Amino acid sequence: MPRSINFVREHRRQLKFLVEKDTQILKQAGIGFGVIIVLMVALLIGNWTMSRQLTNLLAKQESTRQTIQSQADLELKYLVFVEKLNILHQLFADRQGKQEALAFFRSLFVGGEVKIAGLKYDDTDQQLTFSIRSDSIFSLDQVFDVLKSDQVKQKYPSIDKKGLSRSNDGSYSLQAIVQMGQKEEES
Amino acid sequence: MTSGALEKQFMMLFKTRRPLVLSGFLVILGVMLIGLVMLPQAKSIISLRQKISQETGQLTKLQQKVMELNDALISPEYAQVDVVNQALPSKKPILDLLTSLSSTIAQSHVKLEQLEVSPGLIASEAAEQSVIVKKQTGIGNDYLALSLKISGSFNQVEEFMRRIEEISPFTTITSFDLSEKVSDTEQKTGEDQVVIMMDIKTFFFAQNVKQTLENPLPVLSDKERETLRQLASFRSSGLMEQKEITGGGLEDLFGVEGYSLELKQLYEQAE
Repeated sequence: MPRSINFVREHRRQLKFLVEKDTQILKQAGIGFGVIIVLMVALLIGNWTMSRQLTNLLAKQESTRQTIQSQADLELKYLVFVEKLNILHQLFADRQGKQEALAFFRSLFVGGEVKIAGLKYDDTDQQLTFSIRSDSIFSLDQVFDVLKSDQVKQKYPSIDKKGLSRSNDGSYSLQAIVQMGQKEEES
Repeated sequence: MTSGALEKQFMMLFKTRRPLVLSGFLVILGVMLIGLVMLPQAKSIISLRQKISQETGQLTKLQQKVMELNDALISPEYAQVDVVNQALPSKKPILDLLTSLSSTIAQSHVKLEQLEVSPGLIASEAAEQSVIVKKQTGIGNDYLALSLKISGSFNQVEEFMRRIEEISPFTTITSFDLSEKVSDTEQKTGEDQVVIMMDIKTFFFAQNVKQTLENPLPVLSDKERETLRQLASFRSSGLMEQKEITGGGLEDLFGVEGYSLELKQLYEQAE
Protein backbone atom coordinates (compact mmCIF):
# COMPACT_ATOMS: atom_id res chain seq x y z
CA MET A 1 0.00 0.00 0.00
CA PRO A 2 1.53 3.28 -1.05
CA ARG A 3 2.23 5.89 1.68
CA SER A 4 0.23 9.16 1.30
CA ILE A 5 1.95 12.55 1.85
CA ASN A 6 -0.39 15.29 3.21
CA PHE A 7 1.06 18.70 2.07
CA VAL A 8 -2.08 20.57 3.08
CA ARG A 9 -1.62 19.76 6.75
CA GLU A 10 1.94 21.15 6.71
CA HIS A 11 0.75 24.25 4.87
CA ARG A 12 -2.06 24.74 7.34
CA ARG A 13 0.35 24.38 10.23
CA GLN A 14 2.66 27.03 8.71
CA LEU A 15 -0.27 29.31 7.94
CA LYS A 16 -1.58 28.96 11.47
CA PHE A 17 1.85 29.85 12.79
CA LEU A 18 1.99 32.91 10.48
CA VAL A 19 -1.51 34.00 11.50
CA GLU A 20 -0.59 33.72 15.15
CA LYS A 21 2.55 35.77 14.49
CA ASP A 22 0.54 38.33 12.48
CA THR A 23 -2.02 38.58 15.27
CA GLN A 24 0.80 39.20 17.69
CA ILE A 25 2.16 41.97 15.40
CA LEU A 26 -1.35 43.44 15.04
CA LYS A 27 -1.74 43.44 18.78
CA GLN A 28 1.53 45.33 19.19
CA ALA A 29 0.67 47.70 16.35
CA GLY A 30 -2.73 48.27 17.93
CA ILE A 31 -1.16 49.09 21.26
CA GLY A 32 1.31 51.46 19.57
CA PHE A 33 -1.47 53.12 17.60
CA GLY A 34 -3.53 53.45 20.76
CA VAL A 35 -0.62 55.13 22.48
CA ILE A 36 -0.25 57.50 19.51
CA ILE A 37 -3.97 58.33 19.67
CA VAL A 38 -3.80 58.96 23.42
CA LEU A 39 -0.73 61.17 22.99
CA MET A 40 -2.36 63.01 20.12
CA VAL A 41 -5.49 63.68 22.15
CA ALA A 42 -3.33 64.81 25.06
CA LEU A 43 -1.43 67.16 22.76
CA LEU A 44 -4.65 68.52 21.27
CA ILE A 45 -6.11 69.12 24.72
CA GLY A 46 -2.82 70.68 25.89
CA ASN A 47 -2.71 72.94 22.87
CA TRP A 48 -6.31 74.00 23.30
CA THR A 49 -5.83 74.68 27.03
CA MET A 50 -2.71 76.72 26.40
CA SER A 51 -4.37 78.70 23.62
CA ARG A 52 -7.20 79.49 26.01
CA GLN A 53 -4.70 80.44 28.71
CA LEU A 54 -2.92 82.77 26.29
CA THR A 55 -6.21 84.34 25.20
CA ASN A 56 -7.14 84.94 28.85
CA LEU A 57 -3.70 86.42 29.53
CA LEU A 58 -3.98 88.77 26.57
CA ALA A 59 -7.46 89.80 27.66
CA LYS A 60 -6.19 90.51 31.18
CA GLN A 61 -3.27 92.48 29.72
CA GLU A 62 -5.64 94.53 27.62
CA SER A 63 -7.88 95.30 30.58
CA THR A 64 -4.82 96.22 32.70
CA ARG A 65 -3.54 98.44 29.88
CA GLN A 66 -6.93 100.15 29.74
CA THR A 67 -6.78 100.70 33.51
CA ILE A 68 -3.34 102.28 33.14
CA GLN A 69 -4.47 104.38 30.19
CA SER A 70 -7.51 105.60 32.13
CA GLN A 71 -5.06 106.88 34.75
CA ALA A 72 -2.66 108.33 32.17
CA ASP A 73 -3.24 111.90 33.34
CA LEU A 74 -2.54 110.98 36.94
CA GLU A 75 0.55 109.03 35.90
CA LEU A 76 1.83 111.99 33.92
CA LYS A 77 1.28 114.27 36.93
CA TYR A 78 3.16 111.82 39.12
CA LEU A 79 6.05 111.61 36.63
CA VAL A 80 6.24 115.40 36.48
CA PHE A 81 6.16 115.47 40.29
CA VAL A 82 9.12 113.05 40.50
CA GLU A 83 11.02 114.91 37.77
CA LYS A 84 10.47 118.21 39.59
CA LEU A 85 11.71 116.65 42.81
CA ASN A 86 14.87 115.49 41.05
CA ILE A 87 15.49 118.97 39.68
CA LEU A 88 14.80 120.57 43.07
CA HIS A 89 17.19 118.13 44.73
CA GLN A 90 19.88 119.18 42.26
CA LEU A 91 19.13 122.87 42.83
CA PHE A 92 19.32 122.39 46.61
CA ALA A 93 22.63 120.56 46.24
CA ASP A 94 24.05 123.29 43.98
CA ARG A 95 23.57 126.02 46.57
CA GLN A 96 24.31 123.98 49.67
CA GLY A 97 28.04 124.81 49.54
CA LYS A 98 27.37 128.54 49.47
CA GLN A 99 24.84 128.42 52.31
CA GLU A 100 27.12 126.30 54.49
CA ALA A 101 30.11 128.55 53.86
CA LEU A 102 28.12 131.69 54.65
CA ALA A 103 26.74 130.25 57.87
CA PHE A 104 30.13 128.84 58.89
CA PHE A 105 32.16 132.05 58.44
CA ARG A 106 29.36 134.18 59.86
CA SER A 107 29.47 132.07 63.03
CA LEU A 108 33.25 132.60 63.26
CA PHE A 109 33.06 136.37 63.31
CA VAL A 110 30.02 137.12 65.42
CA GLY A 111 30.37 140.14 67.70
CA GLY A 112 33.60 141.17 69.35
CA GLU A 113 36.08 143.51 67.77
CA VAL A 114 35.93 141.78 64.42
CA LYS A 115 33.14 142.33 61.97
CA ILE A 116 32.32 141.46 58.40
CA ALA A 117 32.48 144.68 56.42
CA GLY A 118 31.81 143.18 53.05
CA LEU A 119 30.74 139.99 51.36
CA LYS A 120 31.04 138.96 47.78
CA TYR A 121 30.00 135.80 46.03
CA ASP A 122 29.84 134.62 42.46
CA ASP A 123 28.28 131.38 41.41
CA THR A 124 30.41 131.04 38.28
CA ASP A 125 33.80 130.95 40.01
CA GLN A 126 32.43 129.54 43.32
CA GLN A 127 34.34 132.10 45.34
CA LEU A 128 33.15 133.69 48.55
CA THR A 129 35.04 136.82 49.55
CA PHE A 130 34.85 138.23 53.08
CA SER A 131 36.07 141.69 53.92
CA ILE A 132 36.91 141.50 57.60
CA ARG A 133 37.56 144.57 59.72
CA SER A 134 39.20 144.39 63.14
CA ASP A 135 39.48 147.24 65.58
CA SER A 136 43.04 146.48 66.67
CA ILE A 137 46.13 144.50 65.72
CA PHE A 138 45.30 142.03 68.50
CA SER A 139 41.88 141.20 67.10
CA LEU A 140 43.45 140.95 63.63
CA ASP A 141 45.84 138.43 65.06
CA GLN A 142 42.85 136.48 66.31
CA VAL A 143 41.37 136.56 62.81
CA PHE A 144 44.56 135.02 61.44
CA ASP A 145 44.47 132.37 64.15
CA VAL A 146 40.87 131.51 63.32
CA LEU A 147 41.56 131.31 59.57
CA LYS A 148 44.58 129.07 60.21
CA SER A 149 42.75 126.86 62.71
CA ASP A 150 42.18 123.18 62.02
CA GLN A 151 38.44 123.67 62.19
CA VAL A 152 38.58 126.06 59.22
CA LYS A 153 41.33 124.19 57.34
CA GLN A 154 39.39 120.94 57.49
CA LYS A 155 36.33 122.47 55.90
CA TYR A 156 37.99 124.97 53.57
CA PRO A 157 41.61 124.11 52.83
CA SER A 158 42.01 126.87 50.28
CA ILE A 159 41.56 130.35 51.78
CA ASP A 160 43.42 133.23 50.20
CA LYS A 161 44.16 136.23 52.38
CA LYS A 162 44.91 139.51 50.69
CA GLY A 163 44.39 143.27 50.81
CA LEU A 164 45.58 143.84 54.37
CA SER A 165 45.34 147.54 55.09
CA ARG A 166 45.24 149.94 58.05
CA SER A 167 42.85 152.85 58.25
CA ASN A 168 43.37 156.18 59.90
CA ASP A 169 41.19 155.14 62.84
CA GLY A 170 43.59 152.28 63.60
CA SER A 171 41.34 149.52 62.31
CA TYR A 172 42.65 146.83 60.03
CA SER A 173 40.94 145.37 56.97
CA LEU A 174 41.59 142.05 55.35
CA GLN A 175 40.04 140.09 52.52
CA ALA A 176 39.59 136.33 52.83
CA ILE A 177 38.72 134.46 49.63
CA VAL A 178 37.17 131.06 50.13
CA GLN A 179 37.30 128.71 47.18
CA MET A 180 34.29 126.45 47.52
CA GLY A 181 34.54 124.36 44.37
CA GLN A 182 37.89 122.90 45.53
CA LYS A 183 36.40 121.57 48.73
CA GLU A 184 33.63 119.84 46.85
CA GLU A 185 36.10 118.30 44.39
CA GLU A 186 38.27 116.98 47.18
CA SER A 187 35.35 115.48 49.05
CA MET B 1 1.85 41.74 -14.03
CA THR B 2 -1.61 43.09 -14.76
CA SER B 3 -3.54 45.13 -12.28
CA GLY B 4 -6.18 42.46 -12.07
CA ALA B 5 -3.59 39.88 -11.02
CA LEU B 6 -2.12 42.36 -8.48
CA GLU B 7 -5.55 42.96 -7.03
CA LYS B 8 -6.17 39.25 -6.88
CA GLN B 9 -2.91 38.70 -5.03
CA PHE B 10 -3.66 41.55 -2.62
CA MET B 11 -7.11 40.13 -1.92
CA MET B 12 -5.47 36.77 -1.33
CA LEU B 13 -2.96 38.30 1.03
CA PHE B 14 -5.72 40.28 2.82
CA LYS B 15 -7.79 37.09 3.14
CA THR B 16 -4.99 34.90 4.45
CA ARG B 17 -2.91 37.47 6.42
CA ARG B 18 -5.44 40.12 7.41
CA PRO B 19 -3.79 40.95 10.79
CA LEU B 20 -0.48 41.72 9.04
CA VAL B 21 -2.17 44.03 6.52
CA LEU B 22 -4.04 45.76 9.32
CA SER B 23 -0.80 46.12 11.28
CA GLY B 24 0.84 47.73 8.24
CA PHE B 25 -2.13 50.03 7.85
CA LEU B 26 -1.98 51.01 11.54
CA VAL B 27 1.77 51.69 11.30
CA ILE B 28 1.30 53.88 8.22
CA LEU B 29 -1.62 55.71 9.89
CA GLY B 30 0.41 56.13 13.10
CA VAL B 31 3.38 57.58 11.23
CA MET B 32 1.06 59.92 9.37
CA LEU B 33 -0.55 61.05 12.63
CA ILE B 34 2.83 61.66 14.21
CA GLY B 35 4.11 63.61 11.22
CA LEU B 36 0.99 65.54 10.33
CA VAL B 37 -0.73 66.11 13.67
CA MET B 38 1.44 65.40 16.67
CA LEU B 39 4.67 67.14 15.65
CA PRO B 40 2.92 70.41 14.64
CA GLN B 41 0.89 70.25 17.86
CA ALA B 42 4.04 69.70 19.93
CA LYS B 43 5.77 72.61 18.18
CA SER B 44 2.73 74.78 18.76
CA ILE B 45 2.67 73.82 22.45
CA ILE B 46 6.37 74.73 22.85
CA SER B 47 5.79 78.07 21.15
CA LEU B 48 2.63 78.72 23.20
CA ARG B 49 4.47 77.90 26.40
CA GLN B 50 7.17 80.45 25.56
CA LYS B 51 4.58 83.06 24.67
CA ILE B 52 2.56 82.40 27.85
CA SER B 53 5.69 82.77 29.96
CA GLN B 54 6.55 86.02 28.14
CA GLU B 55 3.03 87.42 28.38
CA THR B 56 2.73 86.41 32.05
CA GLY B 57 5.84 88.46 32.77
CA GLN B 58 4.36 91.37 30.85
CA LEU B 59 1.05 91.08 32.71
CA THR B 60 2.85 90.97 36.04
CA LYS B 61 4.71 94.16 35.10
CA LEU B 62 1.48 95.90 34.09
CA GLN B 63 -0.36 94.78 37.22
CA GLN B 64 2.57 95.90 39.32
CA LYS B 65 2.45 99.26 37.60
CA VAL B 66 -1.26 99.64 38.40
CA MET B 67 -0.55 98.81 42.03
CA GLU B 68 2.45 101.15 42.15
CA LEU B 69 0.42 103.94 40.59
CA ASN B 70 -2.42 103.46 43.07
CA ASP B 71 0.03 103.37 45.96
CA ALA B 72 1.96 106.37 44.65
CA LEU B 73 -1.16 108.49 44.26
CA ILE B 74 -2.20 107.98 47.88
CA SER B 75 1.33 108.21 49.27
CA PRO B 76 2.11 110.98 51.80
CA GLU B 77 4.87 112.20 49.46
CA TYR B 78 2.48 112.77 46.57
CA ALA B 79 0.14 114.60 48.96
CA GLN B 80 2.74 117.39 48.80
CA VAL B 81 2.40 117.75 45.03
CA ASP B 82 1.09 121.32 45.42
CA VAL B 83 4.13 122.29 47.47
CA VAL B 84 6.40 120.92 44.74
CA ASN B 85 4.37 122.61 41.99
CA GLN B 86 4.60 125.93 43.81
CA ALA B 87 8.35 125.49 44.30
CA LEU B 88 8.92 124.59 40.67
CA PRO B 89 5.95 125.76 38.61
CA SER B 90 5.50 124.73 35.00
CA LYS B 91 5.21 128.33 33.81
CA LYS B 92 7.27 131.50 34.22
CA PRO B 93 6.37 132.52 37.76
CA ILE B 94 6.89 136.26 37.44
CA LEU B 95 3.85 137.32 39.50
CA ASP B 96 4.49 134.72 42.19
CA LEU B 97 8.11 135.81 42.41
CA LEU B 98 7.27 139.50 42.71
CA THR B 99 4.64 138.76 45.39
CA SER B 100 7.03 136.55 47.39
CA LEU B 101 9.80 139.09 46.96
CA SER B 102 7.56 141.87 48.23
CA SER B 103 6.53 139.91 51.33
CA THR B 104 10.15 138.88 52.01
CA ILE B 105 11.28 142.50 51.82
CA ALA B 106 8.53 143.51 54.24
CA GLN B 107 9.32 140.67 56.68
CA SER B 108 13.06 141.38 56.64
CA HIS B 109 12.53 145.18 57.05
CA VAL B 110 15.01 145.95 54.28
CA LYS B 111 14.66 148.64 51.66
CA LEU B 112 14.46 147.75 48.00
CA GLU B 113 16.42 150.38 46.13
CA GLN B 114 16.60 148.88 42.68
CA LEU B 115 15.02 146.01 40.82
CA GLU B 116 15.79 144.78 37.34
CA VAL B 117 13.91 141.93 35.81
CA SER B 118 14.07 140.47 32.34
CA PRO B 119 11.10 138.16 32.09
CA GLY B 120 11.80 137.50 28.41
CA LEU B 121 9.09 136.05 26.27
CA ILE B 122 6.23 135.01 28.45
CA ALA B 123 3.38 133.71 26.37
CA SER B 124 4.50 133.84 22.79
CA GLU B 125 5.30 131.05 20.41
CA ALA B 126 8.96 132.05 20.56
CA ALA B 127 8.98 131.55 24.33
CA GLU B 128 7.69 128.02 23.86
CA GLN B 129 10.38 127.40 21.26
CA SER B 130 13.10 128.61 23.58
CA VAL B 131 11.81 126.18 26.20
CA ILE B 132 11.81 123.35 23.69
CA VAL B 133 15.45 124.05 22.84
CA LYS B 134 16.35 123.64 26.50
CA LYS B 135 14.30 120.46 26.76
CA GLN B 136 16.36 118.95 23.97
CA THR B 137 19.58 119.78 25.77
CA GLY B 138 18.23 117.91 28.79
CA ILE B 139 18.37 120.83 31.22
CA GLY B 140 14.83 120.29 32.48
CA ASN B 141 14.43 123.72 34.00
CA ASP B 142 14.63 127.32 32.99
CA TYR B 143 14.91 130.43 35.09
CA LEU B 144 13.98 134.07 35.50
CA ALA B 145 16.89 136.31 36.40
CA LEU B 146 16.51 139.33 38.68
CA SER B 147 18.97 141.93 39.90
CA LEU B 148 18.26 143.65 43.19
CA LYS B 149 19.75 146.39 45.26
CA ILE B 150 18.76 146.12 48.90
CA SER B 151 19.78 148.20 51.87
CA GLY B 152 19.35 147.78 55.59
CA SER B 153 21.28 146.74 58.65
CA PHE B 154 23.64 143.79 58.32
CA ASN B 155 21.24 141.56 60.27
CA GLN B 156 18.27 142.64 58.19
CA VAL B 157 20.10 141.99 54.94
CA GLU B 158 21.30 138.67 56.23
CA GLU B 159 17.72 137.82 57.19
CA PHE B 160 16.59 138.81 53.70
CA MET B 161 19.27 136.61 52.12
CA ARG B 162 18.15 133.67 54.23
CA ARG B 163 14.45 134.25 53.56
CA ILE B 164 14.78 134.79 49.81
CA GLU B 165 16.15 131.28 49.48
CA GLU B 166 13.14 129.87 51.30
CA ILE B 167 10.42 131.11 49.02
CA SER B 168 8.33 129.38 46.42
CA PRO B 169 9.02 129.48 43.47
CA PHE B 170 12.51 128.16 44.12
CA THR B 171 14.87 131.12 44.17
CA THR B 172 18.59 131.14 44.68
CA ILE B 173 21.17 133.89 44.98
CA THR B 174 23.73 133.44 42.23
CA SER B 175 25.97 136.38 43.10
CA PHE B 176 26.04 139.24 45.56
CA ASP B 177 28.22 142.10 46.60
CA LEU B 178 27.64 143.46 50.09
CA SER B 179 29.31 146.62 51.23
CA GLU B 180 28.92 149.17 53.96
CA LYS B 181 26.72 152.16 53.41
CA VAL B 182 27.45 155.39 55.13
CA SER B 183 24.37 157.56 55.59
CA ASP B 184 22.47 159.65 58.12
CA THR B 185 20.38 156.62 59.07
CA GLU B 186 23.38 154.93 60.61
CA GLN B 187 23.89 157.82 62.93
CA LYS B 188 20.22 157.75 63.92
CA THR B 189 19.81 154.03 64.51
CA GLY B 190 23.34 153.28 65.64
CA GLU B 191 23.37 150.18 63.43
CA ASP B 192 25.77 149.63 60.54
CA GLN B 193 23.92 150.07 57.30
CA VAL B 194 24.89 147.88 54.38
CA VAL B 195 23.88 147.76 50.77
CA ILE B 196 23.83 144.60 48.75
CA MET B 197 23.66 144.11 45.02
CA MET B 198 22.48 140.66 44.19
CA ASP B 199 21.51 138.54 41.24
CA ILE B 200 18.89 135.94 41.87
CA LYS B 201 17.46 133.20 39.74
CA THR B 202 13.94 131.82 40.04
CA PHE B 203 13.50 128.46 38.47
CA PHE B 204 10.58 126.89 36.68
CA PHE B 205 10.00 123.52 35.11
CA ALA B 206 10.51 123.24 31.36
CA GLN B 207 10.77 119.62 30.47
CA ASN B 208 8.72 117.40 28.26
CA VAL B 209 7.80 114.35 30.30
CA LYS B 210 6.43 111.33 28.49
CA GLN B 211 4.89 108.25 29.98
CA THR B 212 5.19 104.80 28.47
CA LEU B 213 2.69 102.07 29.15
CA GLU B 214 5.17 99.32 29.96
CA ASN B 215 7.78 101.40 31.80
CA PRO B 216 7.64 101.06 35.59
CA LEU B 217 6.96 104.12 37.74
CA PRO B 218 9.99 105.83 39.24
CA VAL B 219 10.39 105.09 42.93
CA LEU B 220 11.04 107.96 45.31
CA SER B 221 14.40 107.61 46.98
CA ASP B 222 15.67 109.13 50.22
CA LYS B 223 17.12 112.12 48.38
CA GLU B 224 13.67 113.05 47.04
CA ARG B 225 12.15 112.61 50.50
CA GLU B 226 14.86 114.87 51.89
CA THR B 227 13.99 117.45 49.23
CA LEU B 228 10.34 117.28 50.32
CA ARG B 229 11.39 117.85 53.92
CA GLN B 230 13.40 120.90 52.85
CA LEU B 231 10.46 122.22 50.84
CA ALA B 232 8.16 121.96 53.87
CA SER B 233 9.70 125.14 55.31
CA PHE B 234 9.23 127.10 52.08
CA ARG B 235 6.81 129.99 51.97
CA SER B 236 4.58 130.33 48.93
CA SER B 237 3.33 133.59 47.50
CA GLY B 238 -0.27 132.50 48.11
CA LEU B 239 -1.15 133.97 44.75
CA MET B 240 -4.17 132.22 43.25
CA GLU B 241 -3.83 131.15 39.66
CA GLN B 242 -6.15 133.15 37.42
CA LYS B 243 -7.99 130.73 35.21
CA GLU B 244 -10.61 132.99 33.69
CA ILE B 245 -10.74 136.50 32.34
CA THR B 246 -12.43 138.90 34.70
CA GLY B 247 -13.87 142.28 33.71
CA GLY B 248 -13.78 143.36 30.08
CA GLY B 249 -16.77 144.03 27.85
CA LEU B 250 -16.45 147.80 28.21
CA GLU B 251 -17.54 149.97 25.33
CA ASP B 252 -15.48 152.90 26.51
CA LEU B 253 -12.14 151.46 27.50
CA PHE B 254 -10.87 154.67 29.03
CA GLY B 255 -14.10 155.49 30.84
CA VAL B 256 -13.64 159.27 30.71
CA GLU B 257 -16.66 160.89 32.32
CA GLY B 258 -18.85 163.06 30.13
CA TYR B 259 -17.38 161.77 26.90
CA SER B 260 -19.19 158.47 26.59
CA LEU B 261 -22.21 160.04 24.84
CA GLU B 262 -20.04 161.94 22.37
CA LEU B 263 -18.04 158.84 21.66
CA LYS B 264 -21.23 156.93 20.98
CA GLN B 265 -22.37 159.60 18.54
CA LEU B 266 -19.00 159.59 16.80
CA TYR B 267 -19.17 155.83 16.54
CA GLU B 268 -22.66 156.04 14.99
CA GLN B 269 -21.50 158.66 12.51
CA ALA B 270 -18.56 156.54 11.53
CA GLU B 271 -20.85 153.60 10.90
